[in-house]
Amino acid sequence: MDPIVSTRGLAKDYGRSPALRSIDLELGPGITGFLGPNGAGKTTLLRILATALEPSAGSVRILGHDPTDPRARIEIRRRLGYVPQELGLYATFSAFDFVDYVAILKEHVDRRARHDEVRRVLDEVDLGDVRSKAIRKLSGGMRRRVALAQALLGDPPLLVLDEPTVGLDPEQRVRFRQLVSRHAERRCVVLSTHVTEDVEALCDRVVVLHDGAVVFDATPAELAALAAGRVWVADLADDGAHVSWRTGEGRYRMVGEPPPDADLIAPTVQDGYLLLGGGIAEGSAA
Amino acid sequence: MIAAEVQLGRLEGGRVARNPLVWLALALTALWVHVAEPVDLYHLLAGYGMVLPAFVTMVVLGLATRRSRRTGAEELLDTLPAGPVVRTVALGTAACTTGIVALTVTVALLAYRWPSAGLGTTDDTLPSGIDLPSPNLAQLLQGPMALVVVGVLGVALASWMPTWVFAPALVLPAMAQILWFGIWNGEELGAASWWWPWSTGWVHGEWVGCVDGAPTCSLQVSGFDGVTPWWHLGYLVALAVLLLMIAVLRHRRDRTTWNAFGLSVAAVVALAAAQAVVYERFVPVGAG
Repeated sequence: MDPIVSTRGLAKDYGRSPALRSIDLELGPGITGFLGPNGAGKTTLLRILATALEPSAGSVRILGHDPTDPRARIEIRRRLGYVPQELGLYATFSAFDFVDYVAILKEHVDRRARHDEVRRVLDEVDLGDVRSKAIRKLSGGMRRRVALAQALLGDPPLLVLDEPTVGLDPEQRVRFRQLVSRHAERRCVVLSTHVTEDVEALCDRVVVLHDGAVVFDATPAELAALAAGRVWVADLADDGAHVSWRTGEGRYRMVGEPPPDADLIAPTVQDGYLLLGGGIAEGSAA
Repeated sequence: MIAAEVQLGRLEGGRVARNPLVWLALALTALWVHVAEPVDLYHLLAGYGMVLPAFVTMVVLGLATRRSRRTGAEELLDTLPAGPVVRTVALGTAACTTGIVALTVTVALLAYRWPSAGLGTTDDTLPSGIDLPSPNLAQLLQGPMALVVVGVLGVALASWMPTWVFAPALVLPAMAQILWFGIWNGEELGAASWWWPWSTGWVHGEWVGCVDGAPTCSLQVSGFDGVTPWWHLGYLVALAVLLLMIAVLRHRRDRTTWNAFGLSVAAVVALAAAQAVVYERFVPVGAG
């Protein structure tokens, strides 16, 4: 089966600053999470996949089309859902009107069918009750859900979500995970996040970007496994640890090279990611 | 794709038509008509009453045009299959929706103050025997149509305006029009007069009431011209299309758009020039 997204030697420069360097990826159905520090190139990559930005070098194919061809780009956009990092919602519009506005621009031109679809996606993100409310009167989490609702219009085969869980409370985050995982059963969902718990709970695959390059590409379990034997707890902080913090239980949780008698615990995706960032697991990176 | 423009125009038009500022302006027009002396009523019904609603529509549509840039929504909108041309044309369609609202209000005001001699006639209602003109159908349509033109002007200006520093560019044309009308009203029409949206051709020459020995007459209204209003209505339609093409050229510069632009320029020039040729010359009372 052809991948839904594939890139070869993808690069993007902003003037003389390289934002992405030679990215090779193939993405199929399922959820792929992009992790990385600020400035790693996550948003640039997602904007290219969403056809908002053209690459400086390399090739991209999305849903079987080359987005640098204007006609093909339109075809991609017809089958794409995108939530940008900066939502840019129209504050004076109601949630319904805004999603309806986007639906028209997605060429849902049959009025009755479009309104049914708008109601469906708003219900799906639990905004059915407040659909007539002006967006400026909605909470930050609700606004995020309005943005997600417009991306779900037409049940697109490719969903690109840039920091989709920012501002969601724990209950909404769980609801978001349910929604996206259900959507991803037959479709490709690409998301960027700083929240490693989301990656752990949601993603089939995690790609870590650092300085515009892929430094890890495997499953979340494999990312967590990078830190196996390197996470421990102790009553006092160890200066040799890569990172350490005091937990609610009053003990210190540390990631790095443990002392011989360390009280080792099971690692998480966050631990693996922190080790990647510190370069300790450099040899393990893909 | 036309369907998307129509549907979005419907949504945008609905928003403008629900805008309280537009209705406030229309209410002020209604108040103006209510208190107007019979001698002024003709001007208000024949278009000038729509100056304020048109100005408000221009500002509202200008703001709507800038909305995506103001809110940072361009990144999302740039990933949708229907692009900025559809959004621009939809805002032009929204101006038409507001024009329909203005036409409805004009008809209501006309019904409220129906000229006793009927439409497109003169009426001896003043004690001094002065003939008061009443607007004909074309003149009644010119107010709402001029509102459409000025609304699309707002779309065109906002489309090309790089930043809000240039916002006065939205206001000045409207103010110039209003002030120019005030200064010019009562003067004899010249060739340049036909280029203004509200140059509806009801004044040229002297007012029939201003004969020798008559009380001081500040206005020199001759009656109305039955020919030019139809030409001027066509001129306004062409001008609206031209302004919309100017807005569209901000986003698309293909041959079709340039052709439409060229045709609308030709139509505007031809229809404006034709008015200066075909208008009815005033013959003062008692002349010859």
